[in-house]
Amino acid sequence: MSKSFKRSAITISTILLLLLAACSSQTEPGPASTNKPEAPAAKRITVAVTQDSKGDRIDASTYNGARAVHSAIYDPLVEFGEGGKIGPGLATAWEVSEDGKTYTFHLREGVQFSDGSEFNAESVKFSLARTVANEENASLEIARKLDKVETPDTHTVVLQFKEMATQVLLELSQARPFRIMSPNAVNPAGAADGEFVKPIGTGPWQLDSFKEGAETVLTANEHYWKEKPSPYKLVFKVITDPQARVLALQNGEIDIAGGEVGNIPYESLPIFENNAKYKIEQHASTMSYFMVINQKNSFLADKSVRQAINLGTDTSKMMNGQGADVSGLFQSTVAFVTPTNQPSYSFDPDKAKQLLEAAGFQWNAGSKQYEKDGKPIQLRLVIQTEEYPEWKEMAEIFQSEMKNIGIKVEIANLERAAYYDALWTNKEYDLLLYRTYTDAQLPYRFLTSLFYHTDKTPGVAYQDAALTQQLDGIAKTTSPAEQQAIFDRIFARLHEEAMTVPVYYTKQTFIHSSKIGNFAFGDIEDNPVKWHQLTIEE
Amino acid sequence: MLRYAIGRLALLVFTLFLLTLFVFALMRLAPGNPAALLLQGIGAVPDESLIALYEHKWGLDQSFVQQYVTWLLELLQGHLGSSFVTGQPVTKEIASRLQPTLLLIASSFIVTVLFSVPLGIVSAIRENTLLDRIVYGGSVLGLSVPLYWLAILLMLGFGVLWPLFPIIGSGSANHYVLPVAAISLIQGAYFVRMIRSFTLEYKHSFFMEAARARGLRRRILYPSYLLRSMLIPVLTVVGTSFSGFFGAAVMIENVFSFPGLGTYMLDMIYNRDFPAIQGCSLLVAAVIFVLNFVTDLGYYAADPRVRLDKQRWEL
Repeated sequence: MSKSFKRSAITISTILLLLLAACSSQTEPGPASTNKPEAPAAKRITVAVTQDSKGDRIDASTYNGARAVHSAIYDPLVEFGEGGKIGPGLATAWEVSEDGKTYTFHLREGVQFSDGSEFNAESVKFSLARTVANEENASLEIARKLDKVETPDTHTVVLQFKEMATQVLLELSQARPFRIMSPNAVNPAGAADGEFVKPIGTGPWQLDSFKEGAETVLTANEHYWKEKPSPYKLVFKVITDPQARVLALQNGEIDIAGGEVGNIPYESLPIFENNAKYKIEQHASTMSYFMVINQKNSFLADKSVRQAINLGTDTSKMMNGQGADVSGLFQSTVAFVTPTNQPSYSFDPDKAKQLLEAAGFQWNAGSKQYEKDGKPIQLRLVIQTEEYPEWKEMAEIFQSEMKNIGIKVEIANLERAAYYDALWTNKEYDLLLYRTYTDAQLPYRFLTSLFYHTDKTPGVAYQDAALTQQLDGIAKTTSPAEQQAIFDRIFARLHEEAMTVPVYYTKQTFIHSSKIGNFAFGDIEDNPVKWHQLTIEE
Repeated sequence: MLRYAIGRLALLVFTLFLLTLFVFALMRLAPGNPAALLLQGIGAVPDESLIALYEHKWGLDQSFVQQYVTWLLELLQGHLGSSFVTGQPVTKEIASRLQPTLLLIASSFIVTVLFSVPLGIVSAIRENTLLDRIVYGGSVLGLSVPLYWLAILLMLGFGVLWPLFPIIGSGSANHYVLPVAAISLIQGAYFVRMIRSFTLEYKHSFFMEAARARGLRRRILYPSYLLRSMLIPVLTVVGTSFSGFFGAAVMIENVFSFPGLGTYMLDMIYNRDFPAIQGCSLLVAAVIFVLNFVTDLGYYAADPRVRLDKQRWEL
């Protein structure tokens, strides 16, 4: 009896196996071939990105898609360099009128778009008109103040502004939305409100293919003006999970990961250290992590408490001390930051306690906390770990440091959407961990975004009339020396009032397989790597 | 049969209606403003005037009832609205993401059923043998292992240490092996356990005792008595398993960077893209309801008691 059952079991399992075999017989490419695609026309360099780069919608005048892809396809009129120095890009030279209302750009000759059409004043005029017409850009200075664009000859463009404009060059240098796109990229060609057809720029790359949610493939722009075009294809592959990025680097499915585009968790770095198969590349960044302070909290309205928190924070402990020494809100790589103009609070818990006691706080030996009128200092620190997983550990280190100086901190790790609600709208935090912007947005655009305060629109991160007045001063002068003098005063005011708690200076970290050669960082973080210079070594 | 089917269908449409209302309300009650998130994402300061501009464009400045009625009317014409984030019609976005997810769920389902149903039955018939203990232990293990951890482990084992399969994307049939294995192992553990316990219950039931007492041989007893009556519980476990498979697929898609509906849904939830979330949840709910409906019809076909008990089953 049991034998017959066995027999039928064997029969059934044989049928199942056959079925399985039938299903898998469609599997023609072997495992090896999917890992290493057989050399087609061009070899591929694969880069991990965290989000879909929306390759088919990379319109230079919009924010669609990854910034790294924007800057790989489109060039700016002027380029942002180290310490905020503006250098030539598609414009070889430019003049700014005394009153800051007229900007004249002399365009590079002999430059072609990736479709072979000529780059000229008309294409600049088209690009600017299209960007200004896009309501998403309404808050940018060029969009707000541009009066008209004149093209006296084929390689000269004159921008006329309604009033003094001081941020024009910086805005033009960013990854978007003011980079130059061919009029042929839209239908009908050259129409500012035309329908976007495909990305056509003068940059080192052009779009080859795009698979939604999977990958964007770029191929060299044969007409690239600046350097030799790359012989490879550049693939931006979407890998959402951080651990999966680590594993994909290990098994060779991707060649490069890191930076803001495809961040590798820092606790995974040891896997790649001292390993001949990989190289770790690090480069300065302009971004800092800092805490936003809510003045509505009665404790934090007190300057002594804000200063004590700064004094009690040992920033060297963050990320196992991998960051640069923190001194002030901005890194030394940020424009207008000099070695002397950014004072900072160095770690001194005893001084922090003295400050609190001088401000009338009493030490409660039972709870080991400082209190005033029987109310202990308790603060709610809001963070999110979706975009910045390392913030959890930083918040915990900060929590224990605050405990040392008698301040209790509760950490609230919110979902991204709820976190931004707290920052921008409902203000339900005492302290909130945030980050500065990068490159050309620092320091002016960042400061106006978060610290500009009027009665109608209160400052997001801090409300200080004196600082707002100083920021107004920047918008009234095009002279770098005068701007520098004002920024010196701004940095001093930020420090003196302890308007933030700077926590960490980020670094750009990339990991790549050692078969990738000639790795070089780009000039701005939005264009983190000089992709077109990369080589594959056998 | 027809009246039975119509009754079920009416109930189904009503439940779907309630569900859309629920999702619609829930999205609007959740913290996070889609306009502020979009603006934050592009690096602009989400001030009131800009937020208002987007809310007007998306119709979020209307009352809740107005918004819902507009959406419902659109739905009746076969439109699910346009995504806030991409501006594309949601139906188009879902269509482009559907295929890898369906393939992933279908193949995981087939693999799971193929190995777990026979294992569950055989293990129950061979109660307390070594085979049974191994199967039972395996299923307890499978039930207690987190899916994410198992997925990472499979990637490490068969993608990195022993690089047999690719671990990123969905380009070829090979890309499906590890994701399908991860889902099937976890779902299969649940299947095996359920089916084993049902089989045991039937095996020790009165009708089996009676049949055994009549001297029926196992060759007749198991296939015609036990397996025949097993149809109902197997139908229940299998027919109601879609939500489990879908939930697993959402997680697995994210780990294996599958460009499917799961990664899309999660992305849209993070971005509070109301039309996209409403569209996706409506679709998933509709599939679950249809499968439940088919399962109900299956009962009708498989179980004579259902056919007789008209009062209870026909609304």
